[in-house]
Parts: sequence; C-alpha cells; structure tokens
Amino acid sequence: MNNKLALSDDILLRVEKPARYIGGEINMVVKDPAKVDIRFAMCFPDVYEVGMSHLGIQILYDLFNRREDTYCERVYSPWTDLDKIMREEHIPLFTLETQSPVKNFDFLGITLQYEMCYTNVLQVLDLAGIPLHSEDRTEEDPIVIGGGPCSYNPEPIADFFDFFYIGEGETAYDEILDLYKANRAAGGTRKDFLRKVSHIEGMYVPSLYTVEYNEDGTIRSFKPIAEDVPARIRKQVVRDLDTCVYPDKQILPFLRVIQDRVVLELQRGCTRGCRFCQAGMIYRPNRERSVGHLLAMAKTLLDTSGQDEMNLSSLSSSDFSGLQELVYAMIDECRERHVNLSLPSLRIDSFAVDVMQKVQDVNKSSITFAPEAGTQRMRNVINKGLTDEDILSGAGKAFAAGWNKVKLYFMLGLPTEQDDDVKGIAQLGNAIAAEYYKLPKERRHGRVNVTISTSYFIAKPFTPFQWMPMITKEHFLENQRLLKATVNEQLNAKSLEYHWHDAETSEMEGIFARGDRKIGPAIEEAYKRGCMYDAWVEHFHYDIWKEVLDKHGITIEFYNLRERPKEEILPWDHIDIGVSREFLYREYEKAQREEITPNCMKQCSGCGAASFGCGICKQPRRKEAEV
Amino acid sequence: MNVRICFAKYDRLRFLGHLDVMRYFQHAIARSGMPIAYSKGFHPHMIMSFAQPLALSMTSDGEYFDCELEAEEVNADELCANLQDAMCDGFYIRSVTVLPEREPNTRKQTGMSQIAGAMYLCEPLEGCEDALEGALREFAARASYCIEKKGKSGMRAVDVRAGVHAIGIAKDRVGDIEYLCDDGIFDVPATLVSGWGSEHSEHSLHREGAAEFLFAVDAGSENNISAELIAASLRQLVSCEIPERCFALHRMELYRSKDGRMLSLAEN
Ligand code: SF4
Ligand code: SF4
Repeated sequence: MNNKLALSDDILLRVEKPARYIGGEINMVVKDPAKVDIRFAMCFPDVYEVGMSHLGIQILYDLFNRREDTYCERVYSPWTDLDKIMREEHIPLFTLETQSPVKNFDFLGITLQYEMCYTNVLQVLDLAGIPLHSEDRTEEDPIVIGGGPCSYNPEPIADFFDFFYIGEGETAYDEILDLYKANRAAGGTRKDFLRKVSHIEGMYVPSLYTVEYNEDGTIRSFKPIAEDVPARIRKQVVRDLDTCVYPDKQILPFLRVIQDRVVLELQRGCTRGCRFCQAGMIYRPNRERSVGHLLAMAKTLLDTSGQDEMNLSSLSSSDFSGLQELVYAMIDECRERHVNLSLPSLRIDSFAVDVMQKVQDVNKSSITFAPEAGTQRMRNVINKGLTDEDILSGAGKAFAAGWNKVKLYFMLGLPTEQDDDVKGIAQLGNAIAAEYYKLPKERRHGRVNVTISTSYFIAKPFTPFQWMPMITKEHFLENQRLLKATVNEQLNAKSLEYHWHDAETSEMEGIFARGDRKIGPAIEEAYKRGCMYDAWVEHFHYDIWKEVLDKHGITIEFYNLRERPKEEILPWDHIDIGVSREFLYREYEKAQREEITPNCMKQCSGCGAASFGCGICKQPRRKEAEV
Repeated sequence: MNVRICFAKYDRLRFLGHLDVMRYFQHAIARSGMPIAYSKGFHPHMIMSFAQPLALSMTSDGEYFDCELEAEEVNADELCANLQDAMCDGFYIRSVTVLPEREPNTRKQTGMSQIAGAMYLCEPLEGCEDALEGALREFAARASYCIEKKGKSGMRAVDVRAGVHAIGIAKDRVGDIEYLCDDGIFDVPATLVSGWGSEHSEHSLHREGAAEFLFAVDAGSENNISAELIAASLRQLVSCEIPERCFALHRMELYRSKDGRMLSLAEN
C-alpha cells in the first residue's frame, strides 16, 4: 500500500477529525492502480461519517473490486474546514485508497441519497477539477455517473452528469464497464461511449434528450434526439437477492460513523403502498432474502468486521415473512458473541415485545410508531394501514412489559389536511399516555414520556401525491403552533413532548424533488455563492437560496403549491419504474375519496411492477392472519 | 488471567486518535477470536485498559494495553499471531505477554498506572537540522530548563531538563548513537538499527539519512515529559525562524520502574 497521504501533516493537524481523509480502514481494498484497466471513484457527497454509513456504497465497492480489471476507490465531501484549505492551496480532491486525484479516474460515480446534497455534488466536481457541466468535459475527464433515489427525477441536476444509472446497481455495471473498455480499445470517444450506454436498459444520458417548455413553464415535449435513443428509461431490478453478490467484507471505519454497525439487508421494496412514500414505489416489487442466506451472511459479516452491533435493515421489517425465525436465531448468535442486535422499528405485537425484552434495556429504550397522521380519515388518505386501535394496544403491551417511553412520528401538511387532523395528533398522543395510566400504579415505572415529532410533507415524484400541492411554509408553521397549543390542552400534557422539523429546508427539498431542468442554473449559482452542506441545518443559507431562486424566476407557487393536471408532462415521466402512471393516478383519486388500497401481501392491485416477474408479485398471497 | 499487548502504530494511522485506536482494537480482538473477558451488565464491554494516549501525527513502537482473558492457560505466541492477522496496514503486534498473577490484596496494576518512563525519537524536519542540533547540545548542557505547560489548574512551569535522563543523537538511522548525557537509569541502545524503531522502518515515514534525537524521559501521571514538550523546548532554544512543527515525533518505548531502573512494559 502506498503510504503517501494527499494532505501534509500540517493540514491534517489543522482540520477536525483527520481520520476522515486517510483511508486505510479494515477491509479497504488494496490494488496496484497501474495494473488495472479501469479506475472508478465512488462518491457519497457528504462528510465521511455520513457517507461511510451507507450500505449501497459498500455493495458497489465490493461489486467493482471483484473485477480484476477495475479498482474502485472512495471519495467523500471534505468538511468545510478542509474545503477552504483545499481551495486556498489548490489541492485537488483525492480518493481515500490511493490518495490520488479524482480527476485521473475513468469514472466518478456519485450516489444521490437526498436532494439537499446537490450543492455538494458541485463541490466534489469543482474540487476535483472536473468541469461542472457535462457538455464542457473532455476526453481527459472522468465519466460522471449519478445513482440512488434522487436519480429517479434527476432533471434539476441533469446538466452536471454524463449519465444516470436508474435502479439497482448490481445488474448492469459489468456491461457498462465492458462497453467502456471496448469503446476505448476501438478508439471511441466519450460521446461514442455515452451514446452506446444509452442503449443499455436503465441508463439515462440527459444530453441525448431535448426539452421544450410551454409559456407557463410546464413541459411541452421531452424527446430523445435520435431514434436509437430510447424514449423511456426502465429501471434495473435485481430479481433474486439470494444469488446476487453481497459484500462479505464491509469496510469498517476507524471513526465512529452515523450507522456504527454491521447492516444486514433483509429485503428490498415494501408491500404497503403509503401514498406519500417514494421508496415504497420506486423499489417495487418487494423481494425478500431467505432466512438461511441471511443467517450465513450475518455470521460472515460479524467474523470479518468484529463489530459489536448488528442492524436488521429494510423498509418495513415487520412485514418480512421470516422475521421471527431470523430474529430468534440472531439473538442467540449475537449473545454468544457479545453483539448488540439493534432492531428496526417493529409493529408492536407480542412477538416484538418478547424480542425487545431480550435485546433492549427497558429502562433506556423507547418504542416507536410512525402513524404519520393523527386521524383515521387522514390515514386513509395516505393509505397508512395503522389504526388507533393498533397503536393503543401495541403501546399497552409495551407498557405492561415495562416500557415508559414512546416516540411518535407524523407529517404536517398532508393533502386534504384539516385542523382536526392536526389536533388529532395531540389527541392520539394523549390517548397513548392515558393507556399507560390504565396500568395499576405498582406496575408503572414513573411517568410516561410520549414524544411527538412532525416533519413537513414533501410531495415526491413517483408517488400518488406527485400531482398534489404542498402547503406554504407559513401554513406549516401555523399548523405547528396549533399542534403545540393542542398538546398543551391535553389532560396528559405533562407527559407529552413536541419536536418539529425545520420548514425552510423542506420547502427547498420540495422544489428539488419535483424540479425540472430549469432548476440547474440556480443550484449552480447558489453553490458559487457559498451554499454547501445544505442538509446540515447550521450550514443551510435560506436567504441566499431565496435570492437565487427569485433571480432565476423559480417560484414556490409553480413547483410546490399548485395542483398539477393529469395531462401535464411531468419532468420525470420518461423514467419507467415499473409502477404505471395509471396506477399512481388511480391512487391519487382514491386518496381524495379517502379509500384505502390493500397491501401486496393481501391482494395485488396491479401496479405494473409484476412486469419484472419477481418477488411478491409472483408469490401466493399470505393468509389474512399473517398480514 | 491478564495479558499485555505491545503494538506499533505507523504511517497513515498516525492520524488516528486515542478513542479510535481503542475502538479499532475492540473490533480486532473480536475478529482474532481472543478469549477476552467481558464486564457484566446489559451492554457488556471488553475488559481492557490502554496506556498513555499518543499525540496525533506521532508514530510509535511502544503502545500498550492490558486485557483480561477468560482462560486458564494461553499460548501467547498464538494470540500474538492471531491478533497480527487481524491487523490492517500500519498496526503491528510486537508482543503479547502473560502478566504474573497479582498478589492477593494488592491493587490492580494496569499499564496506565505503572508507567514511569518513555523513550522518544525526534527527527528534525528538512532544513531545521542544524539549528535544532545546536539547540539540542545547549539543552543537554543545561542543568535545568523550564517551560510553561498548560495543566489542569492553568499554566505552570515544568522543568523539562530535570525529567530527561539520556540524550542521544544519531546522524542517520544506521549510524552509532552519540550520547550527550546518560544517567544510567535506562538501557539505552547503541545504534538505532539493531534497537528500537527500526523494526518496521520500511513502513516508517522517516526520511532517508535524517538525523534522529533520542530522549529517555520521565513519564506517567506524576511528571510526564511528553515528546511535544521536548520539541517545544528545543524550538525555543533556536534563535532563527523555524516552522512551528519542526520535528517528526516517534515513541520508541514505555517503561515502568523497578529497583531504581527502567524496565520495558513488555518485560515481567
Ligand atoms: S410502510 Fe409505507 S412508509 Fe414505510 S416504506 Fe412501506 S410504503 Fe413507505
Ligand atoms: S404488481 Fe401487484 S403484487 Fe406486484 S408490487 Fe404491484 S401491486 Fe404489489
């Protein structure tokens, strides 16, 4: 391993947490860059501790490095202190493994996990010395690829990427890398390569499409520039998770990162279909791993990492069909190894209570519910199949077993919301507290503590709410005040605590989420005026963003507050996630009628994802009792 | 049963802080399968205790921690080999020693509380060699040299010179060491190549042909003369302009005191 660091000792001693920049962690892959054909820089555009917590990067890192001809290295956003030094001293952005400049790589892959990282994407390109715009790049520059959930509507950042990989990374990268080598061997250019990439399913090359707008700013047409470029880009899906590669040696950071544990991914996709939830739609269909496969994976991961905590992860783990079998087996394995098992938030039934008693400290931990809305009416609108009855009986069981802390998560500003729905949140909190006081005094452990958290509903692409208006920031703040006041009025007000989420970031997130290509120049300008790390409240400059948006004629009214008509071309309509637009529109209409749709375990609603031919769509429905 | 592990820390890992090193070893021990004992309670943790933290950017051949094992008998060489297998580049296990059973009714002596001495190498950075060598000779000639040090209760003066027992200078890493003073308490090496600090020199960042200053000093909780304190003293003695950071620092060994002599922590 080359031990020369990209930063001098002087710099490393000046910055916060120098271990962010030195690499060398356990299970880091070491190769000789001179002996590979392809160098791939994999980037999570946020600080190391955030980026290293992300499982997706570990999966791709492993996938690429299994190829002998490829060396994949990691790169993260330098924190603001180092960012400043790098600009002053003209130090190019470097990878952790070989500490070499990103600019010299063949590819730079950037994962887009949340909209608020867009200015960090520009930071990474800029510090690397790569032109921000795809059209300005030369044969000397890496090919810049975007992936992850935000690539499902990549239009706001389309100009900055050479192509987007839509869908799960395991399936098509081999083909892409082989194509790259073949193109290079044949003396092909960057342009030739991108054209050929566009023929691979799931690859979206923004420069090969033109957009025309109507007077009012909506899209008139969105077309490929040539016949061989597909009009729609269909996402990539892994059909069988058990046979697909999984990193058995995950990089173990030296620093304490956000997710400081081994992650075991139980399944992908979710069967529930909550109407606000983008993950629930874009990762359809739900596909499970087998318990046997998971247990073997867990063992290997613990052996190769020595981690003392293990996390079972997926969108809705209570629905995982093998959960009981898996968890009971894991509890024993973990106890033997002195490993803490951290559970996802489970639907609270007797199984969950039993498991929680085994793995959690009753006195310190809390139980969690995400009803998302305070009234049954509102929950029908959003298709959240969780009733007051479920919550109260679940909480009752946990209280009887000794818990006295509850965390509740809600959204404000959901479509069709009325004041009563807001007040209902406080009333539900109160009812949960009351449930606790039903316990005989001698079985209580002090006062119950119910924490209510609210976030701001953001309408996301590929959800039934993609046509819906959001509420204004002012209205949202009013709702917060109303909720706060209602909380205080409750009988058990002393047991209730209310936390809320910042509204300014959410407003911006709304614009980016459903934005089009007109947003790009504003993002670029905000970046040039110093915006970066927007996902970090302390670094978010609402005033600058406001000014920049105004200047570019980007209004909240257009992007967030209006109802979009059915026939409007949405900026992301050319992306095909398998779930049909018709299904989403049916769901949009049902939401307005306050009608619920059963989840996939009960009944197939014909969303379109069955066309992938795998997962839940191909399985017999489960019995009523198991759902 | 208790064992003491001595390890070296090099290269990139100079920039790992003490807490991260501790976490690293917890994971490494778990990977190596060492039969370590755990504390009781809901979240049991490994029973281990680390000696003196090392300042960021320093390399070391003399890092230590003690841990309690859940075993009657162990093969120290095997433990050492297994642990080495679990290391990443930059960490090297130098030895694993079984500690003698504690006499009944005596206090538990952890690595930390036993420390009485340390040996350091200070390598002047390029361009500062001559000025610092002059400072070194002047420092060695003095009977006392006081410097302000930030303590728990504000600034206080520390006599750095009084805490230094031997001072040596090697013109390059393979040459003999010339001793400017040595009061005989430490077993000081005659050359660097056959002694400490050279074992992993192929991994070391030290410059080819650079001079090395060697210091054997008091350490521990009572009168701790750190490598930075020595570096700061020498820098003060230089009259011309030199950069703030004028040395690459390296810890060679930690010692405990026995019968008026300094004994390596790795020796029983
Ligand atoms: S349960 Fe609902 S909110 Fe959760 S992942 Fe599934 S669809 Fe989304
Ligand atoms: S096709 Fe049916 S079963 Fe498959 S994801 Fe859609 S609704 Fe669920």
